[in-house]
Amino acid sequence: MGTSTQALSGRATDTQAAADFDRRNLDWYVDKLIAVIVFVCGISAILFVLGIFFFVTKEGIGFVFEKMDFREFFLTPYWSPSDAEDPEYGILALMAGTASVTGLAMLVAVPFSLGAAIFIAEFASGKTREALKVLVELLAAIPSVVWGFIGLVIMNPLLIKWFDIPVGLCVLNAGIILGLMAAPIMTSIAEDALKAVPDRYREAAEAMGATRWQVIYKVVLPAAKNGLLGGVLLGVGRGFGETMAVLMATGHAVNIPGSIFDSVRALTATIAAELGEAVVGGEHYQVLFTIGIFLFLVTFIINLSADLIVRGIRKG
Amino acid sequence: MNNQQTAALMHPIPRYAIDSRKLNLWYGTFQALYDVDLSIREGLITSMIGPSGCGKSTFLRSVNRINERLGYVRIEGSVHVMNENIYDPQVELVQVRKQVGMVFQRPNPLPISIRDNILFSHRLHAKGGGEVAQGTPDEIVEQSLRQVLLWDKVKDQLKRKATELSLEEQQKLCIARLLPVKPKVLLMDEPCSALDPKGTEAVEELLWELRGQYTILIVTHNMAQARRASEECVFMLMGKVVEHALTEEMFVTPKHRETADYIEGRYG
Repeated sequence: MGTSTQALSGRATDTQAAADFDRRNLDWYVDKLIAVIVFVCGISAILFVLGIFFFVTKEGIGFVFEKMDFREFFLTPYWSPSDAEDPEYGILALMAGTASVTGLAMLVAVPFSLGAAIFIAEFASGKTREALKVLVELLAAIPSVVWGFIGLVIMNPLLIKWFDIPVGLCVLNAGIILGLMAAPIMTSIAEDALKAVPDRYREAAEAMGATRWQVIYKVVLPAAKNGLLGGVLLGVGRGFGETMAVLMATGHAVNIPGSIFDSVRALTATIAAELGEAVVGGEHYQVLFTIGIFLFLVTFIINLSADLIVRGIRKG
Repeated sequence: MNNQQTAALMHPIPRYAIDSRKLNLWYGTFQALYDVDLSIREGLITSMIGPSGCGKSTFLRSVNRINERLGYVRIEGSVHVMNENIYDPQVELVQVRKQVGMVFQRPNPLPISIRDNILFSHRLHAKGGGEVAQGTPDEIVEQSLRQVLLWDKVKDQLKRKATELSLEEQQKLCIARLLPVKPKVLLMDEPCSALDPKGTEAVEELLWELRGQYTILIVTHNMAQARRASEECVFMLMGKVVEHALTEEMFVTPKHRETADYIEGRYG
């Protein structure tokens, strides 16, 4: 506040009557302070993401530039990092493990969560709806190690008994567990997408004599398709990044699966299991971080496209 | 032509498309309609007027039973549409809604193409028996859009999303999409309230075009519109029918004090 303010206040004292327009009370300072705090919080999310990316990259980038053979890394299935003489770093089998488990998980989760979302959003009402929503959120809050435990202790013997296989820790086991884990969040997002469809569309279709199912199938689902697709992609991202449950339920064997009863190993589980035993700064350590970079990039792309797709609906 | 028909032509006995008897309706515990007896003549345009909350929209919405979406609605009495009680337990809701089309206050085309909007209800009802427009989908689309005077404007953009049209065009489309299933009755709940004066004029013009082919029941807040665009007029107040007369008679010589007061704008 420069000369003009002084001039103004000077005139005010002269006349003894003019308003005190430049007075700042405590509220003004509180307002400014809150604005700054909120700004810092908002910015920090970006800083954290960049910071994590920077850290992971820093640890892994040395390997990428110096020793990494891209063809060996992505296209061979041989993973034996602790071999003293000739360690091999091929992540094809790990990628196949992650992809097969995630793919099966989506086969389980998509119909489940879509059905649940349709029921909650279109059929249930009042208390049933509220209770279901709370339950779904509760389900989403179950720690992943508990899911892994279920896979290890409950699913494992069941699968052995039902399918007469030697080991029940396999793609099927992990796929089901991961599907159940991803379903709640997918249900929530799908339900939001269905709720976002304006009610007048339903009313219009019903007034023309559409049955409830026709309204859902012909009007609501097409109108919500972007949101639903976004939900599925977020589920894929969740499956891709899940570690503990997958580590416990897949059997953790480096293997390109030939059937859903084969044990596999996931990218994430590999990092979790081996980082503790790798020499800090050593080659193995760096390779694990390289896998980290890869995972980060893939989940980033999946989440970004999910976000863009969901945003798409609001515009259209 | 047999004698009976000849006689009917010479001395037209009024036929009623909608005939309600002792219709009572509650939203939860709130009673919105009290013993409504209304007989709406076939082929005419009948307007319903009255202050907000008088039950005119409620009555309209109970003629194709769209009120029941709300779940907490209770209804007693009967409504006959073309001599059949639509509240008979045997009646199929889908068939009622095929016969009785509804146009809403806010234009509500579905978020699909213009063409698919027109064919939407036709596709729903084509297999269900009952009379629907014949012909190829293209013919049906053209016919319906011509009837609402929209064909020339949109014939080159049938694939366009219907929600991108202007409000007036959307509302015309909402009328057009009812026609392929050959409804007997068209219900219109303040169809012009979201439109500007030009759009209103265009929709009113359209109503006169459709007159005779369909029985049209239109709820309006706009007294001038009731006067211009309808042949009979119903005045409702507090859930009851106060007066039902030819429009010109009602506006020139209302029989009830309340009607006169409302028409002259003493309350509303």
